[in-house]
Amino acid sequence: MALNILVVDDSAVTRAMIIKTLRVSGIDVGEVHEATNGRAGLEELSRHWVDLAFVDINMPVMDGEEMINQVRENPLWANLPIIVVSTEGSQTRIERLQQKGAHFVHKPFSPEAVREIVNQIIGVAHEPN
Amino acid sequence: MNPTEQAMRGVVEETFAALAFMFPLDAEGAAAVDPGTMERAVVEFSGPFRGALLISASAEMLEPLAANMLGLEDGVCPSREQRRDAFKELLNVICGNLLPVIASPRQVFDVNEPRLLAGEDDYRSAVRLGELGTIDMDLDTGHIRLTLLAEHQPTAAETAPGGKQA
Repeated sequence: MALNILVVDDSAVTRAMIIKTLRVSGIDVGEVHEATNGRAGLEELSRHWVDLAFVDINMPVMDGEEMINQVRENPLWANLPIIVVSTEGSQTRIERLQQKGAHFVHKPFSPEAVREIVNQIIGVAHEPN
Repeated sequence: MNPTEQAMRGVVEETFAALAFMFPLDAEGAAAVDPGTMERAVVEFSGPFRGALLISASAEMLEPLAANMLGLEDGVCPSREQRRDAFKELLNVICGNLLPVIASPRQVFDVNEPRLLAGEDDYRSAVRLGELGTIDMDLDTGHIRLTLLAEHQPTAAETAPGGKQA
């Protein structure tokens, strides 16, 4: 089954890097939706079915942590798998995000790191051939 | 080179290699560079202490930087917007990886959106932050200078007992 993806990051280059990484990693990607901040990410979630969200932390308008808080409070999205892709180096904040059920990929990231964490979340069905 | 500058150099080398497959030509690159040909950006942060990270880079570096980050095929040129976005994202990644090295990994910093700068001197006189370190580096695609400004040197309370203090 192809995964519908939401990528939330204020950097267009980073969004492109994440999407390209997913594709070269052999992950079956379906629809790809993009947003430049947390609020726009919530709007995308309300418009489309999303299987997996990649979320940055430091963004204008609404940061990733606030977006994750609102996602978890909404019964429709409470169990949405979320991968935080960030330069965040504070263990305090990383642990806080993990307690909210988010996974973490550190920037700069490798395709292997992304593939490994997606497989952890979704399962081995998306291993590349 | 002070300990902060050593930390800066390590983070910069790792970031360029991982993000854009770019590598330093030597350990102490400090070639004479025409300031008029440099692109500049700044990212500000706040937390246990407030500061900013400034980067200037040879203008010709921005095209291969963006092309490598985006994985563009040979002959495909990134747009001006992509070049600028890649430059800002590079600075964002350097800053995010540097802060836990010079302060405690337990400390929480808020990192603002990087922005391009027209002139560094005006910025430095406006923010009135002290300089903790500056490094120059020659890469295979051009020259960069990175400067860390902060309101004060990180204190003992802001560094972790087991952290990678610079």
